[in-house]
Formats: sequence, structure tokens, C-alpha cells
Amino acid sequence: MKLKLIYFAFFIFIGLPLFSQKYTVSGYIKDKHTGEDLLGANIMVKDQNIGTTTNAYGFYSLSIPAGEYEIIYSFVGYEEVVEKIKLNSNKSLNISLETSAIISQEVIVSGEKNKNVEDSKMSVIKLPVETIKTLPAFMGEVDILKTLQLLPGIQSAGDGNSGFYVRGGGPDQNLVLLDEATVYNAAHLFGFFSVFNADAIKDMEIYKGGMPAEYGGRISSVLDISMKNGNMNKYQVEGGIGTIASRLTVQGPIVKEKSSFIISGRRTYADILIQPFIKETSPFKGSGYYFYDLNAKLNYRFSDKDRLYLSAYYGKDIFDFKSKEANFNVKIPWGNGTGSIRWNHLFNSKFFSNTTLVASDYKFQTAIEMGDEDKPNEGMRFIQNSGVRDYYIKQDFTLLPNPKHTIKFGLNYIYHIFTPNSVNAKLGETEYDFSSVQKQKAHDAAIYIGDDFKISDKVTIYGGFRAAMFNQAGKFVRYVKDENLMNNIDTITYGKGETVAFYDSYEPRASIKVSLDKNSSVKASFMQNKQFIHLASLSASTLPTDLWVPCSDVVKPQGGRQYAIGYFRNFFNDHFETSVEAYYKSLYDLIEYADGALPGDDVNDNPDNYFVFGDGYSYGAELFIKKRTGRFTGWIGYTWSKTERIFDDINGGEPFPAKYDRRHDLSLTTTYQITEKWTASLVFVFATGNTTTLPIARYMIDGDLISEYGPRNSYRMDPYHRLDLSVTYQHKKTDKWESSWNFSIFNVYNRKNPYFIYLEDKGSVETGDFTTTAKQISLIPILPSITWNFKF
Amino acid sequence: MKMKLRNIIFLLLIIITSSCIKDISLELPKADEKLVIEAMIDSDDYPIVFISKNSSYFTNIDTTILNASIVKGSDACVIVSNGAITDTLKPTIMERYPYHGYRGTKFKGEVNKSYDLKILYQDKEYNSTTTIPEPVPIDSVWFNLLPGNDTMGFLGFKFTDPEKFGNYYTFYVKVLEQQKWYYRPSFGSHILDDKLLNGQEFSYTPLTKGYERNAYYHNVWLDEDLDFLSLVCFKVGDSVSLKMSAIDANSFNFWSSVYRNVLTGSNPFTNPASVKSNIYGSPANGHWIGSGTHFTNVYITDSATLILIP
Repeated sequence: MKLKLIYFAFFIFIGLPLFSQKYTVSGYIKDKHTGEDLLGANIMVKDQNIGTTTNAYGFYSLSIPAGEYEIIYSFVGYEEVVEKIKLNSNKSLNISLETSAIISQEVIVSGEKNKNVEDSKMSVIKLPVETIKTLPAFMGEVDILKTLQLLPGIQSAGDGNSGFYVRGGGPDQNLVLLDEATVYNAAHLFGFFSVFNADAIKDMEIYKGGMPAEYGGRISSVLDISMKNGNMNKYQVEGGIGTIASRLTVQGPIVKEKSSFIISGRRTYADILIQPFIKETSPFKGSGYYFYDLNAKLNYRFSDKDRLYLSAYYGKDIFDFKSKEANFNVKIPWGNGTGSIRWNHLFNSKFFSNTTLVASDYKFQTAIEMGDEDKPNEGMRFIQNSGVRDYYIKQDFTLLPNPKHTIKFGLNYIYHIFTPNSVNAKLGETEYDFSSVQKQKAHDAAIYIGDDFKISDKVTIYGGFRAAMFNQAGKFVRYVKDENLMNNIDTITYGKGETVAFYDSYEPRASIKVSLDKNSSVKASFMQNKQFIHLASLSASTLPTDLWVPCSDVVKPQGGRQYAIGYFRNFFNDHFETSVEAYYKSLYDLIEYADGALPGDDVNDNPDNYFVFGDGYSYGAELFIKKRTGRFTGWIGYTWSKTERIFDDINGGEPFPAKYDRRHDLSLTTTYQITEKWTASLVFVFATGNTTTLPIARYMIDGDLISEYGPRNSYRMDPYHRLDLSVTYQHKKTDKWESSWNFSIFNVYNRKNPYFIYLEDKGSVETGDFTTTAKQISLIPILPSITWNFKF
Repeated sequence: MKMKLRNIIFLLLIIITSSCIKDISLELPKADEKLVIEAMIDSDDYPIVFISKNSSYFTNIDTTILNASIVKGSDACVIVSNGAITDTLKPTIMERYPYHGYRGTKFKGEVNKSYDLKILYQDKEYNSTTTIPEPVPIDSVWFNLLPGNDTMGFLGFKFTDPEKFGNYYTFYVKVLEQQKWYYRPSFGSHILDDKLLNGQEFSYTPLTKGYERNAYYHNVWLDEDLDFLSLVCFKVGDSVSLKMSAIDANSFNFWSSVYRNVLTGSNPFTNPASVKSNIYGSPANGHWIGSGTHFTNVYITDSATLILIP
């Protein structure tokens, strides 16, 4: 009820100024050379303290009283443009900014002058891809997700773990959007690489908290990634040849100033390079692993009012294991595909609309074949598929009635199809197909509204509200198990379209910024949200085999609530940016597999029968110090936090630390421009070790050794720390040709960071040499790499 | 199958990363001492109980410590009741590790009856109850030679699952006149349920020979000198006894959690799997299992065919 009142109040606020005599100046801001839209560029009215920024499509709109103004257009890494305008009617003004020759080489971590202090949003970080490209590259590949994990509050779970963890939330609680399409699996090869090819990416923004109402469906964070549009003015080829992978990007105009395209590909080639060294007679000839990514985008500018974007991504990891002798062949491909169509329409200079259609698909497959190729009737074939497919329609509106308000509202609908595990097997001549029963289908819809309201020069508030609903619909069969999860005691059959489960969610979001003076501000935020899908992981680490499952008649939506407060201050004429944020986050209705659960083939069964449910919480403080400008730039991020889970059926109901519970997490990132040609950079990370569960005792049953485990996640492995270095040599630039060499060393002092621990027995009691040793596995030793990048 | 895939990934990672393995020392909390109870009652046989104790991980295990962990003789009082008669089991030397056990003398197990177990040890009491289900007979047995070998091979057998859902089985093998005990087959698990085969005829092959398992004394998987084939294969000339038992759901649960525990070990890609116990009262590990048994004895002839031994 209270909320309704607040909203009512908002509309009254925004209604009033509409009557005063004002005109609007609006348009797009883009890069002069490439024609790329600039997102988050600044528009300021000189001497007025009125301003705005461009939206995700480079559009801005500013309504101010009639008069003569000087408007300053600026964006990091670009020369400022000042336009004198006489405003006596609505004006459309598109601006092209020229890259700034002097500072383009510098690393500027994020955003604009004073933006972190003045913006009402908190817990949000924006990183231009150019920043990431100067940092040390892992095996020659610059990586968006790896760089993100250097920011406070965002963690990796260490080498060999895909996914990232935001403020104690799980890896499934991050909404990863690529041109507004959901990416379900953002990692290649157990997290060593992300699926985002930096050459095709323009920009990214991550919300660790204070999520605005336009985002929903995940409870921890939003990572919003924008692909480049493609050069509107000329053809351009860009690429890199690295130690394990190569990249190539081609972009250019289709119709100058109207339409452009970009296509970008990347593939690893360790599998190909290694083949000549495997003997023709080797029993494993043909085995290998590779991944590839393909990004493509087209855009067409019908007019200043209408633009159309088509974006597509397709990427796969393929693992192939062949054993000729055993006539055994395993092929495991997995990956995402996304496609989105977006249509921007300007109803008028104050009213912006975006319509999005998305299809997104994640698939994991295992194919095992055994037997002689010549005798197809005798062999065995086993194919298992799991995955999730979404069809998505979304309508967003932005209303900019005056410089005080930015109002966003909209609605969306997603149709999900989840394939938990469908198995198709052939044994001799008999085919078994278990694939049809288990698909879970669901309708997921939401409406939202939010207003960023600048009450005064000092105070800005954001209020938003999102209402969402989720409906799992038949066909569906629920197998009800007895308490031992042994026998089916009942089956419930739902017909086509029949409601299996219905959930709704009401999500208030709010934040406030109070400026203390020109250089400092205090911010606070609150968000509440629910998530209708879960990632079920049998393992302690995140693997592509983890299963996406929807809410159902037994699985409730997971929920989260987060409170955050922060102090932001800039020093030395904005050369230094600092912030301290503290948060408390509660999580509820999380899932885990029951202790020792081993979900089978889902025949006459549902995977969610094996889940147990519980809650969690996390709290922490984050410190961020950043030097924005100069030859020496970089940042220090430090997080102190505590994350626990409480499940009735795990650990006897006692709270236990999450695997990625970290007391300390420190990262240091610096870049130093030695000369115009040479740039050096350094990354250092330190993190408290991950927790794990180890056996504390053992005994024999019928001669086999059985392990008795200690409390869940009660053992903490050694801390993770690592130093990476890189130097980049930039050849002299010409108008036609640019190239650079990047030399990186990953894990400079060869730290053996723990990945997992296993225990090994040797010898015999009879001979008196029975011993047990604990062995720690580390993944990545010191690893140098060279990449040659070019652009013409 | 998922399980297997995880194990494949696990193995591959170990291979790939073998250069990055280092020995570390772990400081683990001391575990509470618990009894380990292996208690069974078969149809037409007296109850048998073995009792030992768990040991902390990384305890330097030698013969003295192991012997001290065996509960024997008058240390414990083991009582089995069929509702009418109460039998205090007699300490007995057995032909299986830990060689000391307790055996009943007053009554044998009967199909469709329930049995209570009570163990008294150092002021603590341990209890459990089990039932002996109706046995299911083996319909037929056959023998397959290993390809390219004319003396060694595996057995296979067929049985028909009853129409009612919820049947659980164990099977053990013994080479007559060579082995002293019925052992679990060397390969695969020795348990089955009727989740996928309810009411149907089911074939199981390959059924391998068993061996006396004793992980502390002799881990066959680490023994490089061992003749592997003779460990797992039956030979022409062997007389083999198959013991197929019907067990209840709790007992099946126990065994399947044992297999999970052994398979997952310290595999980091699975959650640790605790072994379920059907012993209550004081905390203990282990089981009390009633089995409805059916025996089939065969002789493997020179021509690799089978003759049924009545």
C-alpha cells in the first residue's frame, strides 16, 4: 500500500513541470570516425548545472526553458565539443566527437569526471573495452569477465571455475545480457575465457546492487554488455594472432551514415597445432578441445526517429575424446546462441521507445559412442542433452519530461523451455528415447516503472517498482517420491498448457544520493527481487554440466534483498576517485542437491525431486581507490565479506560458509605509460582460500574404505594470490595501419593456487607402509604469451 | 551417466594438471569415535554381526591400531530378536576380515519376518530393525569366454522382476572349494532396483568373480604384480555359487550410498556423499540387512558350457 502511495506521488511530481514553457534539445552522440554511438556520454548546459547522459543507444534529450545556451558534449577519451544554441523551438542536434589524441592512450577506468560522485546510482561500474585491452592478457586473450573480477565485490572462484560471484550471490544470480539477449553460460573452458570477444564489444556495465527496475529475473547482479555497431564511415579490419587463439573483425558501412555491419570471430587452435605432434598411430588421434565465438551485428538508420539493430552471437566449446583401440568416442559440445532484433523509435524528442525480440539458447550435450564402425548394429550410442531456450519480447520506454526526471517503464514476456536431461540411447539395434517427457515450459512476464528524480542540486532519488510473474505450464508429469527418494508413490499429470506452478513477485527498488560538496556524496540503495530459475550444481565448482531448472510445484523462486550504503569522494581535481560501500544481502529459497543425491537419467523422475532448500546471507564492505588520469593509472579494490548458507538438510541445519566465502579479497591493477610506444601494466590479486568439505574419519564396510565427512565447507584451502605483468608495444600509427605487440606473463612467481584437494592411499598395513597423502591440484603455472594485434 | 561424465572430466583434469600436483599437510579436526556395525540375517541362516570402529583420517594406521579397532569377544553384547525368541549372539572366529564376529545359534532367518538388533557396548545401546523379503529366483545362468581366451570368462544371469514396484536385489558370487565367503563381484555394483525393469525379465552380464576386499591390507587396484584376469574372471573347471538376495529399500539405500561414497571419494566435482546407516540409538555407521536369498550353483565345463549343480 505504501508503495502505491509513493508511485502516486512520483506521478504528481513529474506531471507538474510538463506545463512550464520548455523546449527540448535531443539527438545522438557518436564517434566521428567510426560512427559508433557513444553510450553514457555527457551533455552539460554551461553555467546551469543541468545535464544528462546518452542512453544505451547513444540518444540524449534535454528539456530546458527557452533561451541561449552553450552546451558541452563530452565523453571520456574524446575532445569536448561546445555548441551554442538558441532554443526557441524543439531542436534535434546530433554530435560527432573526435577521439582525443593526447589521452587516448591512457587507461581511464570508467566514466566521466566526477560522475561517480554525482550519479544517483551506486554499486555500478562501467568499463570501456579499451581499458581492458591494456591489462595483462591471459594466454594472449584479453577478457572482460577476468577484468570484472578485479573490481571490489565481484569475485572469481579461482582458476578453473566459470562464473562470477557478486556480493555473496551464486553464479546463477547474475543476469548477463549481450545486446539485451540473456547469455546463460558466459564462460569457455571452465572459466579460463569468457564468451565475449573483446573486439566485438563496445562497453559494459555491471550493477552489484541498486539494480534499476528495468532489470529483473536475477537477484545478485546485472552485467549489461553492448556490442559494437560497426563503422558507419569506412571499412575496417582488426584482429589479433595469439598463442592459443586468433581473432578477426571486419566492420564497415553498408550505406554510408545509414547502415553498418560488424562481424567478428575467434577460435582457439591448440587442437590443430597439437595434431602434427600426435603420431598417426596414437590411440587417441583425433582427440582435442577447442572453442569458437562468432558475433555479428547489423544496424540500419531509417531516420533520426527510427533505427533497427540485428545482433547475433554463437559460440561453442567442443571437447572430443577418441580412443581407437577401445572403439570409444566421446564428444561434448556446449555453448550459447543468441539473436536479438531491436527497434528504436522516437515518438518525440522526449519520448524514446525500444522494442526487442530475442531468442536465446544454451545447450550441453554428451555423445558417447562405442563399437566398431563397420558393425553399426552391435555398438552402443548414448546422447544426453540438457539446456534452456528462451523466446523473449520486451518493450521499453524512456520519458524525459525535463532535466529533473528520467522515467523508464516497460514490459516484457519470456517463454522458457528447459530441457533438464533428455537421453537418447541405442544399444545394438534397440533405440531408447527418453527425451519427450521431461521438458519444462514456462511463461515469465514483468512490468516495471522507475524514475530518476533530481530533487535539488544536492539530492537525487531513484524509485522503481517491478512486478513479475512466472507460470510453469504443462505438459508435465510430477513423480512424487517417498521420503527416501526411492519409490514413486504417486504421479501427477498436467495437460498441455495447464498450470503446474504460479509465482509472482513485487520488487521495490530505491536509491538516494546526497551531495555533501562538489567532491563528495553519500548514497544508499535498496533492492528486492526474485529469480524464477536456478542453476543446480552437483559439484562444488561451476561446470557446464550444471543444470538450469525453473521454479516448479516443488521449487520456489529464489529471492534476495540488498541494502547498501556508500561514501564517494574525489581528490586532487578528480585525479583520484574513491568510494567505500557496505552492503547486507539476504537470500532465500536457494537450492542445493540433497547430500549424496545422484540424480539419474530422469526416467520416471524429476530432477528437482533431489533438491533441498535453504537461505543465505552475505555482508561486507568494499573499498575502491582509482587513479583516473595521467601516465600512471589504475585501481585498488578491497573487499571484506562474509557469506553463509543455512539449509535444514545440510550440515544438520547449522550455518555453513559458502564455497566462495571470502574474508579478504584484494586486487591491484596499474598501467604505466612509459613512452608513447611502450605501456606496462600489472595486476595483483589476493583472496582468502575457498572452502571445501573433507573427510575427517574413515572405516571399512565389507573391505571397502568409506569416508566420513566433516562439516560442510569447514576446511579452508590456501589463499589465492597471483601477479600478472604485461608490456604493450605500439608501432607508429598511420592513417591506414595500426599494430601492437602484447607480451604477458600470467602468474609471474608461479604460485600454485589450490584448485582442489584429493586424498591418496598407498601401501598396506600388513607391510607397515600404509600412508595417506593429501594432494593439492593447481591449474595454471607461470604462463607467458604473445599477441600481435592489428587494425587497418 | 552424468556421474561417469564427471569422472571422465575429473580424470582428464588430473592428467592435464599432473605437473601441478603438490603434497600438502592437512590439519583436520579430530573425529568422534563411532562403531561400525555390519550385521546381516539371511533366510535359512543364522544372523552374523561384525563390529569395528572408525579411525581419524591421517592416523598412522598399523596392525596394532587396526586390531584395537575390532570389537570382539565379550567387549560387546549382540542380541537379535524375532519377536518371540531372543538370541544373544556368540563370539565366533569368521573366515572374513575382521575375522572376529558374532553368530546366532537359536533361530534362522525366515522370509517375510522382521528382526530386531540390539548391541550394547560401553554403556551405549545401538538398535535397528530389518525384514527379510521374498526371494526372487534366478531363471538362467550362462558363461561367456573372454574374446581370444579359451579358459577364462564371465557369467551372466537372467531373472524376472515381480510385478509389484519396489524390489531391491544384491548378488554375490563364490567359487566353490576355492573361496571361503560369498563376495561382491569385482566389477560394477552388486545391487539392483526395479526402477527401470519393473515386472520385466532382466539380464545381467558380465558378472565377474569376487575377491576378499580389504583396503587397508591389500588394495588390488594398486598391486602391480597381481594377475588381474584371474582376479576377475571365472575359469573353465570352476564350480560357482550365485547368491541372489532380495533386500528392503533401506538396505538398498545403504549400499547405494556406499557406492556413491567410494566413487566420489574426494572428487571435487561432486558433493560429498555420506553413507546412510539404518542403525539408530547411539550414533554408528553400518547396517542391519535382512536378505531373502536364492542360490544357484553351476559348473563350468571344458567346452565352456554350464552344468547346473543341484
